[in-house]
Amino acid sequence: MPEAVPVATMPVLSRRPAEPRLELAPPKARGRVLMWIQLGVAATVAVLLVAAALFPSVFAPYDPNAISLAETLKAPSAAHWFGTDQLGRDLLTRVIYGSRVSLFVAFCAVLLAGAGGGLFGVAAGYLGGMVDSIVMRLADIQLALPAVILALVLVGAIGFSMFNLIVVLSLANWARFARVTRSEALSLRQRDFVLLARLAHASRLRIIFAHIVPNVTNTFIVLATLDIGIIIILEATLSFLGLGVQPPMASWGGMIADGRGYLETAWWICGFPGMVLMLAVLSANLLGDALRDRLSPTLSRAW
Amino acid sequence: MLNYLVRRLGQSAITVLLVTLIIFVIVRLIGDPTHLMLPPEATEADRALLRAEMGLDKPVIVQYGVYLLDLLRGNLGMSYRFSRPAFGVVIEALGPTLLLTTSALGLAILIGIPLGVLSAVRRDGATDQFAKIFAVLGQAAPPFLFSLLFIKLFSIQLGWLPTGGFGKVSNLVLPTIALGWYSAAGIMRLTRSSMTEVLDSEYIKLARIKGVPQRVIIYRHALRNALLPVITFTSLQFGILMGGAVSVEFVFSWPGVGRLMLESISNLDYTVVQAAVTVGALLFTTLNLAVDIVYAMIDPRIRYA
Amino acid sequence: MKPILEARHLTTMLRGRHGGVVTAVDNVSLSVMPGRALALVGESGSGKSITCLSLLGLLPSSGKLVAGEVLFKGRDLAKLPQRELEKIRGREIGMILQDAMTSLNPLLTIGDQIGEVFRYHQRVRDRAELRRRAVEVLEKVKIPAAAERLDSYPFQFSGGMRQRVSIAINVALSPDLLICDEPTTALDVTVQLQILGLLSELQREQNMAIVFVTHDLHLAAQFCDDVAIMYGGRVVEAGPIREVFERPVHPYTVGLLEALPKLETYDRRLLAIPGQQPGLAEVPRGCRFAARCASAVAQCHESYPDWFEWNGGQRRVACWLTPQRLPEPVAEMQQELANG
Repeated sequence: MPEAVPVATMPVLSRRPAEPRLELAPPKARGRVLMWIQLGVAATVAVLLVAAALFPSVFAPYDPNAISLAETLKAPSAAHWFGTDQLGRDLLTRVIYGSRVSLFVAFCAVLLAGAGGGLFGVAAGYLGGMVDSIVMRLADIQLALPAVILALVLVGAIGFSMFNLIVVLSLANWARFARVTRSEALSLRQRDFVLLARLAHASRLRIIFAHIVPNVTNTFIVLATLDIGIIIILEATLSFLGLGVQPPMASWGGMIADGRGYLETAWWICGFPGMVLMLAVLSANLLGDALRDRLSPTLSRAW
Repeated sequence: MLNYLVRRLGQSAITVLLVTLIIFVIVRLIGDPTHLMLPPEATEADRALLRAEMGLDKPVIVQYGVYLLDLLRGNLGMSYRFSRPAFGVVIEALGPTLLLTTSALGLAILIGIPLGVLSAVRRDGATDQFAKIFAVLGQAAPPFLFSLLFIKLFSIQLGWLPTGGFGKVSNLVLPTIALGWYSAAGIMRLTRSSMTEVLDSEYIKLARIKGVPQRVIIYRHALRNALLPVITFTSLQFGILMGGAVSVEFVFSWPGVGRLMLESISNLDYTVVQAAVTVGALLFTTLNLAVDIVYAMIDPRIRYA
Repeated sequence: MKPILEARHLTTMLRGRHGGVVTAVDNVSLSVMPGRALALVGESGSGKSITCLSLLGLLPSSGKLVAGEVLFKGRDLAKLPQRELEKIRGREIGMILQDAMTSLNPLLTIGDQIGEVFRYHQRVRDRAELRRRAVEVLEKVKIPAAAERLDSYPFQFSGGMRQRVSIAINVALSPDLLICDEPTTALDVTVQLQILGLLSELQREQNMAIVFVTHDLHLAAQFCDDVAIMYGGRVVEAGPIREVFERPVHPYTVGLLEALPKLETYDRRLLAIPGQQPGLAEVPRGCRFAARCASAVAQCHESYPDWFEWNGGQRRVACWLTPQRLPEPVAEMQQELANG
C-alpha cells in the first residue's frame, strides 16, 4: 500500500492514491467456441437436409426408381457415393428422396401435435376447471401408452396412408405440448397484463389469443424443434416395422428394413439411411438445445 | 398422506377405465371379426349366428359393459391364432419383455445418474465432455438402429455375441444396451441439470457456510434434492422403454410382448393386441402410482400436505 | 486494537450469461474490529453481497476472486485450500443469507441441519447429544417448544422462524465474526425488530464482530458502530457510523441521507439522486459517481479520486472535493494547523 502523504504537511488530513485498477485475467469463458461450432454444424446440416428434401433433383444424381440389375449391391464408390441396393438403385438418390417423406411427415406431425396440444394446454391452463380436468385426463391417457404402441394399434386400426400416419403420430405426441403450455398459461394467468385485460372486460377468447398465446410462442418453438427429432425417430421405427409409409414410397426407416437382410454383405443399405437419420435427429436436437438457451432457458432439460 | 394416496388411486382408476374405453373403440373400428373366424364359404346367416353368439348384435353400450365385466374376471378373449385365452398368451410374453425393460432401465440408471452427478460437480471436465457426447449420440438414433449396428459390429464382425434369441445372459447384453442407451442419455442430462441447479441454491450455500465438507454436501444435501425430478422422469422412461422394446424385440427375435403385438397385428389376431395393450396400460398406471408413492415418501412437503 | 478481519484490495469478477465480464468488486478494502458491527451500505448492485461471498470463498461458479487478501486471525482466507476454509466456516466465521425461505434444505429436518454443525466441527456422533445441543441453540434464538421442533421440516416454519434457525446454525459454535447479508429485508417490520434485537443480544453475549449488509440507513444507524458506503463496486466513504451520517462528505453519501424521508419535511418532494448506477461492465475512467454528481469537476471525470483520511485513518473518503467539503471540526483543525 502506498505511503499516505499528508496534504500540505498538515498532520490531520492525509491523502494517498486509491488502489490502482488492476488489469487481470477474467474467469475463463467456458466452451463457448465449441458451442458455436456445434450450432453452426447443426444449422448447416439442417439447411442442407431441408434443401435436399425440397429440391431433390438438384442434389440427387440418379432416378430413385431406376432399377439396374447390373449394378446391384455395389459398395460405395465415386459413381455411387452411398453404394447401390439389391435392385441396383443408387442409394444416395433414394436417401435424398426418402428424406422428403421422413421430413414431411415429421414436420406435419409436429405442427399438428404442437398446435393441437398447445392450444389444449393453453385452454386447460387458462380456463381451468372442467376443461382442465378433461384435458389433463386425456393427456394422462396418451402418456400412459407408449407412442410406438399407440401408433402401432392405431395404424393397425385405421389403415396405412400418409395422412393417417401423420394423424397417428400427432395423437401419440400431443400431451407433451399440452403439459408445458398448460403450466405456462397457469403462470401467465397471474401476470398483471392479463389481469388488466380482464379488468377491461376482454373476452376470454381474446385474452387467450392476444395475450397468452404470443407469450407461449417461445417455449413452443423450442419444444417443437426438439420434438422433430423424436417424431423422425418414431416414424422411422414405424416404417421399419412395416407400419409406416408403404411401398413404393420409401422413408429412411423403410430403406433400413429393406437392407436388414444384407447386413452382412451390403451393410451400406442400412448404414447410410441410418447415418442420415441420425444426422437429421442430431441437428434437430442441437438446434433445439440452442434455441432453448436463447428463448426459454427455464424449460426443463428432460423434455 | 392418506388424502394424497386416495386421490392418486382415484385418478389412476379413471385413467385405466378411459384406456379400456379407447381400446374398445379402436378395436371396434377395426371391423367385424367374424370375417376372420369363419371360412370364406360361410353364408351371411352363419355370420349373423356367430355375431349373436359373440354378443356383437347387442347395443354398443351393452357390449362395453360385457367387455368390462369380462376384464374384471380376467377374461380378455380368445386368441384366434393360438386358440388360447389371450390373457395367457400375453402374460407368457410379458416375462421376457419385463426382463428386457428392467435390465435396460437398470443400466440406464446405473450409468445415467453417476455420470450426471459427476458432470455437474466437475463441469466442463473430461467426464462432462464424455457425458455430453454419450447423451447426444444416445438420443440421436432409434433403438432399432442401435440394434442393427450392434448386430453388425458385435455379432457379425466380431462374433462376440449372438444375433438374437433368448435364454442365456449373452442374449440379453446387446438388446439391453440398444434399448437402454436412449434412456440413459435422458436420465444423465436431467440429473446433470438438476444437480447443477441444486448446487447453485441458497441452502447449499448455507451448508458450505456451515463448513460441511464438500463430499457430504454433494451426497447428503444436493443429491437428495436433485434426484426428485429424476424419479418422476424415470417412471416415464418405463413407457418409452416399452415402446422401444417393440423394435428391439423384433430385431433380436426376443419373445416378448412387443414382438407378440407386431405378429398379432400382421396376423389380424386383434384380441391379443387388445389384451396386450390393456395389460400394458394397467402395468404403467400401477407403476406410475408406485413411483408417485415413493416420491411422496421422500419429499416431506407432499407427505404433510 | 487489531481488526479481526481485514480485507485488502479485493477484486472479484463475474462472468455473465452471454460472455460479458463484470468487475463486481473493485479494489475493496475493509476492516472489522472485534466486537463491533460494520455496516456495508449501498444500492442493489453496488457489490455488497458479492464482497461478502468473496470473503468466505463462496462465489458461484461464474465468479472468481482475482486479487486481494482476506486476513483473518493471521491467515489469508483467499489463499487457503477448501479443506482449511471448511474448518473456519461455521466455527469461526458465520454468514446469514438474505432469503430465509430458501436457505434451509427442504428435505432435512431442522434438528439434522443444526446438528451438522456439531457433527462436522466437534465430531459429536451421539444422536442424543446432538439433539441436546440443537435444543440449546434453538432456545438461544428464542424458538418456543424447541425440543418438539427438532423433527420439523423447514416448510413448516414461517420466514422469521427460518431466519432464526439460520442464526442458530451460525452462532452455535460462538464464531468471532458473523456476516449478515440483508438478514431482515425479506421479513415483516415487526419481525425485523425481533431479529435485530436477537442479533444485538447475541453480539453482546459472545463478543461477536458483525458485518451487516443493508440498504436501509436507519437500520444501519441503529444497529452498527462503523459503516462503509459502497458504490459501483468500490468503497467511497467509511468511518464510525454516527460521524459519517451526521457529517457526510462524499456527495453520494450526502445524497443517500438527503433522500431519506424525514418527518419535518414531509410536505416536500422526496429528493432522489438523479440517474442510475453505471452497469458494472462499462467502467468510466474517473470517479464512478461523477456522472450523477452535482458537484463534479473536470478532475472527477478524468481520474479516480485518491483516498483522503483523518482520525488516524479511521475516517476515509474517496472524493477529489474532500478538502473543500471537510466537516467543520476537521476543517477548523486544518486551518489552525495551517496557521501555525
